[in-house]
Amino acid sequence: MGVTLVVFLLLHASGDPTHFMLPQDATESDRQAFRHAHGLDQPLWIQYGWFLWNAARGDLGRSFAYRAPALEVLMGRVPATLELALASTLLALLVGIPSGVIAAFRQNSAFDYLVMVSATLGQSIATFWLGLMLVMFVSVQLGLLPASGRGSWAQLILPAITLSTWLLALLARMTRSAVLEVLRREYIRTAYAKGLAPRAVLVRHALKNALIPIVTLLGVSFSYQMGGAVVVETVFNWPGVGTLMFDSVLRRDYPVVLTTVLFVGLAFVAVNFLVDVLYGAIDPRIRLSSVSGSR
Amino acid sequence: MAGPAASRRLSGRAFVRVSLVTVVAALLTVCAHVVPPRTAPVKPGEAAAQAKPQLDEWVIAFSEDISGLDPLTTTTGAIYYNVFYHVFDTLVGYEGRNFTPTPRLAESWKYVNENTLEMKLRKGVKFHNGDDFTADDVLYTYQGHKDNAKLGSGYVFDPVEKLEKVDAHTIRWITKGAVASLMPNIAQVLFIVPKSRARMGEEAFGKRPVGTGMYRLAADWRRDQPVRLTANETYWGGPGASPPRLQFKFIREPSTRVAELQNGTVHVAENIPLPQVELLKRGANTDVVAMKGARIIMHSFNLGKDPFTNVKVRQAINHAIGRDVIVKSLLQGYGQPHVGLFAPGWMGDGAKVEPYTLNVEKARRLLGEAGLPNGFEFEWQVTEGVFLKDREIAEAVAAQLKQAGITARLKITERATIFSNFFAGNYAVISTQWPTTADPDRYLQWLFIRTKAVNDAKEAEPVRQMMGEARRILDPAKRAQKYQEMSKLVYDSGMLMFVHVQDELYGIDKRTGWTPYPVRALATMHWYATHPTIKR
Repeated sequence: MGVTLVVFLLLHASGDPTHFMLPQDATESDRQAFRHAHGLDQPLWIQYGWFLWNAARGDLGRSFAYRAPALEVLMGRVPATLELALASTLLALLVGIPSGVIAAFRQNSAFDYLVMVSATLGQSIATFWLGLMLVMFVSVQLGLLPASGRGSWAQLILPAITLSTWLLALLARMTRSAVLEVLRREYIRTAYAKGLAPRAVLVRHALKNALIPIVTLLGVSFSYQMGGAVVVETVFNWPGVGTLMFDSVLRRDYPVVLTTVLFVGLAFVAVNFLVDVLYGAIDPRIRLSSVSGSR
Repeated sequence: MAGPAASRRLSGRAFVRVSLVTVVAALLTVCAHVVPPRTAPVKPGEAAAQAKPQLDEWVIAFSEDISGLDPLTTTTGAIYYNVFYHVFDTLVGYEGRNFTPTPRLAESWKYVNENTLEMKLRKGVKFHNGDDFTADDVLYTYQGHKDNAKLGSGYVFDPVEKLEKVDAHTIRWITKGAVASLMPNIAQVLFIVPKSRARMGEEAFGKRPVGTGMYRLAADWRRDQPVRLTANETYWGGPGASPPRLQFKFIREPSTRVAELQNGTVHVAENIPLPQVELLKRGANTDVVAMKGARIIMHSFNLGKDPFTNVKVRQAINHAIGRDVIVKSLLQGYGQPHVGLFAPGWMGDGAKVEPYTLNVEKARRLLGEAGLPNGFEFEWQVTEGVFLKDREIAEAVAAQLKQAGITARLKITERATIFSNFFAGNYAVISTQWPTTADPDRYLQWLFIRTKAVNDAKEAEPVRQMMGEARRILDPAKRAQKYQEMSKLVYDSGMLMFVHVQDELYGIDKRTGWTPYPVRALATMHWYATHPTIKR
């Protein structure tokens, strides 16, 4: 709610939707009529009050641009965003964690250097540029994949790779250092001393303990992924929530902006909740201590 | 510690190996499946080998979002107009470089008296749903505009007293006095919808709008999806629209539009960025075509604020600008110096004026005569990325002004802020733009009435008076003369900072042979020009 108030005030403080929803040279009386029809001629605090009152009853207003309920407009975009987010996160997990683990086990090997150099590059590369380069080489030059749009699996690959690069690189680096850290612990030595095979040590003791910081990272990276999504959605013409928010801010489509902000806020809370739950699943001690701590 | 991972007998290295292999395999499989269906770019040899290089479907990419397809709820954005001109008809059209009024659904028209315009409507025209087109449909569409102030078409219909039906195929526009801009304005706004729209309901009509146009919807349109059209075989102008299918698609990012053009998956794309023009020109299948002088970039002075109240200061600024270098090097030749008040081809263009040339001496002398021998400083509000090289051009002009001792402080800001400040008159100098238009009145209203700073200024009083007179002159030749007079007055007294008129750039697939026409309807105009069999 605090977020919506800030966004609400910022939006209303600058610009006027009638400049975008009506012809450039619409008359002042037409503009007044538009403002009146959407309640924009009311004092700000009344408008915000109405927004909260209606939102509490599940009505988030109608989009000025699309002339449809803002929630409906948003929900039309959510599947595309989820698809892209899941695909890129999965890719980052499946490639990033294993490479980090191998790099840690083979510290200072050629593979380790390769992972570290690629990870540094991957983290510092501009998403926008990477996306354009992928389109240029993979799509235009090699003709392997479509350049943009959504609909087939093929169209998901390039945007997913582009969006996952940053997270993938981060995960690889974090995993490597977390595993290295764990490998120096005494219980690992004990495990080896028990005569366990190296793989068993890795999975049962090392990886499991290294997972905690990685899960934390995943939760934190969510907001970054949302920002990156705007860029990736733009380059690949992916009809997602990021560009909807971007466009709606530019044309001052207040109801859609507020609805999207609410959605992103809720998603953020949900992801962090999920992270907390995962902690418990990975390490029962966290679950116990937080329960006893809160009582 | 018996977690799920430990209970499985999967070894560490095997886990890593399996996941890596899975990802790579998945990627390869998908790639392999994708290659065949993709439209391969046509190599020059292949193109010659094909008997008919024509495309069955053109995909047209726009830089603006599609927010609706109902002309009675949507009036903004180029894409709507383009789709509208294909699905619907207007009563008259304005075609060609000089905007010649051409019959569409109105077969003929005449002024019964100064404030009565009578139109004979075409007979035997059918809407896509089989309804007959009659005067009632025109009345219904007109009423739709009157009832929905949110459409913002008041500038067209406020001067209309009423629209009368004389018989099933005759209507009369009764205006409040003579209104010369009525016809060109309704040609841009009044897309005729059937009166049965009321029965269909707004929502259903928005999904599958019904018109009398050359194309009809091929399928229901859904938000965030392209608009697919197919030729209307019962078109009143005769069948044979080619290509038989059209797709209008929104692609936000210019580089993506270019990539799709290169891939042969988009065939006409608007707003091509200058740095990528060469790339498309070099391509075997792609090209760039320019619509000459399509957009005027206007830099308004605040005529009510010192020192811009002084004609000598304004002339000094106009003499301190070197336009050729801006057009040649910054715009790569895709533009021309702005001479006179209008763009080439507009009514009122061709006024006999002495073009401003770069003359720093003269600029300094004029400043001295105005009592500002040491120059002065002002703030200039301009956008970035809205029109070609907007920021770069402003920077170049500012550097040129500096030579004459004038300091322009650039304030780069977004469009919403520019509009607000323009309307309220909160500026010293501000940049806006106007696209090519059939009637200069709207453009003039924008420059001299919509912005409070100029509307309240005494300087502009004679211009407003001439505008009022021109609006009442029904004879186009005489009206053009009035606009030329006005153009000379405004230009000579430097009421704007005249810099340049910009071309509109389109990327095309060579197989389309598409050329732009100076009307917003991108494709229809092309077909009218290239298909002489289609009745006008």
